[in-house]
Amino acid sequence: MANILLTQQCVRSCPYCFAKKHMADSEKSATLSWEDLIHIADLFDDTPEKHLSLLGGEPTLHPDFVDYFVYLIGRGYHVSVFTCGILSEKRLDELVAALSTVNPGKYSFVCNLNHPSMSTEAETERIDAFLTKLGKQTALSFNVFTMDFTMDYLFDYIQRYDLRRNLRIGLAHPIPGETNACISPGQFGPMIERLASYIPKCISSGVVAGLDCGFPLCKFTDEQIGKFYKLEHGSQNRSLKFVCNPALDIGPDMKVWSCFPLSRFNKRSLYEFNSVDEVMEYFITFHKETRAKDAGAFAECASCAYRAAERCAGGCLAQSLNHLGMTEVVFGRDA
Amino acid sequence: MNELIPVFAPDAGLSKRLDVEKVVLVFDKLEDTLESGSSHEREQSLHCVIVREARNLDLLTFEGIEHALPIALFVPAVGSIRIAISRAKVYSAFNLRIFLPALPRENLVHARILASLGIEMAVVIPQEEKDLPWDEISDLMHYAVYSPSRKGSIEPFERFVTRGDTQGVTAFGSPWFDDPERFIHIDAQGRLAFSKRDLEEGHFLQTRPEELSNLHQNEEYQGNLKRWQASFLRNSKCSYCAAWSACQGAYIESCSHDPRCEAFFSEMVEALDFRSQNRGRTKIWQS
Repeated sequence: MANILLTQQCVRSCPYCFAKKHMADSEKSATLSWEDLIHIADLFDDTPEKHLSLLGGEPTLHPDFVDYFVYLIGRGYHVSVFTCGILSEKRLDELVAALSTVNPGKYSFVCNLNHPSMSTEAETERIDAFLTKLGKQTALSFNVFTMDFTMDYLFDYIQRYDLRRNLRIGLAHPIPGETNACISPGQFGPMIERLASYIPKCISSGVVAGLDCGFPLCKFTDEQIGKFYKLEHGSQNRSLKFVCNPALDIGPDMKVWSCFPLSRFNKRSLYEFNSVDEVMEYFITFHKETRAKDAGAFAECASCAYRAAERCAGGCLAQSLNHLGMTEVVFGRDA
Repeated sequence: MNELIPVFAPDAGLSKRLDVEKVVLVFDKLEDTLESGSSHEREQSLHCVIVREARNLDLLTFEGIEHALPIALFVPAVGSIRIAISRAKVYSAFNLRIFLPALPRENLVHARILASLGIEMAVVIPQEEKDLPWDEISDLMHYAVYSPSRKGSIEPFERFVTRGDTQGVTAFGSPWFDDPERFIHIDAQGRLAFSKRDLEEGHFLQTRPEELSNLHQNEEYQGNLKRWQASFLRNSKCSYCAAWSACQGAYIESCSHDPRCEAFFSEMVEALDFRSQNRGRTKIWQS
């Protein structure tokens, strides 16, 4: 699985944006070409998952977005689209029409939904239109970047638009060299406590909350781990894991990097590799070399048995790069 | 010597006058091939049918078309690539190769898209066009020849690198039936032409179809087969081109001063060398 950035352009400017640094360093007008998309599809053809995600910026802004989407499904991929849900009426209608002939089991949307106070009325209208038409294929995504976060509105949206009962919870990571809003390691404990307080609501709403990467195992109490485990166990979207592997982000210029927080490090052209295994090996080596120099987000990571057994990565690798002084990290607005 | 295959529009009278085993029948519309008749009704077996459609690919339905019928479908463009992608499985179910002209440039991208979906494709590189997109053609050739993934083949590149002669000359236009050592074009009056272009321009080798079986003895035909040698007598850039064996001066009128043409055909020759090195290596005990 890899994340393909179709365009660098975005209709939003989220304070926690983990793509901010990458976007700032890249050419805004760059869009992925057909030739490059075909190369990616060819390269990943033999991967067992046959799953590609389309990202941006806002991927639906790419002029050929719908064609790319239909093409990848035609190639036998399962396609996930990560969107903010703000699509023009024309683009939304175009997408809905194209989807009418596609097996719904072959694609999904992940809508990153900020708190309504962060959207204008016009933006909210467009999000509502998106969820009205494509809600059944859409799961929500939420990024934790402040300590006073609330998730109640997410449950309202899930109910109102009959969305998929999966909720991706992402942790805003520091972007080395950038001032994005994020949670500092010292705040992990209270942040997890606040997250866990929503578990009863998840259960009563039938929502499976999946934690994305970068959460350190030791900051959960056994009770919290148990609750998250019970919430996810048996669902198709289990993600309760604390290890860290390269996500493989591919930019419109065909540069590939490990993941957004690490977009400044070891960026290479995808054309330099002959297979996905080669790409993975390259970035796994980078991860391992960095982890060897700095065990993780906390001093205790160095002597942690779970860390040694590779059951926990010790938080996001960006934290280790920060420790190593490779760049200066400025934590977010509530730090 | 191989038997020449006549290329002509369906004509029962003409078929009866041809002493050949195989024919290529030419149609203007895809649905007209329904009338090509089953093989037992024909005098000869079909090498394939050529359909020279004026409509774009997205407007064609394949309703009622025989799945086994070998079809060389020439269309001016794809039209909606989204529609074509959604019909990829339909196209793949037929014994079909889709031919697109190299212009407009978008056709080269569409050829790659459809080939990557497993559809047999071809791009026709016309001799008379002045501003051919050689760089893009070269990109497509690289994809067709060097990409290791499974996909439909793209002509003329595939035939050139798999059947080409590293020591001699190779008919670059053979996939679109511009190969007088294999195909002879016949008009409605039964006149024989060396190529489709000669046919359109009214240059004929013989006026009677019965002469087809004797054409190898025809002086003009034999002379035309060596027509490419004349380029060495002219002071044209093609005379000095390292890749002359790939095109045999076919693009002399339109591209003789275009270095991108030479660059493309040089890469084509390199691709042939590359493929031929990996072609059917025999061990000593097998010979």
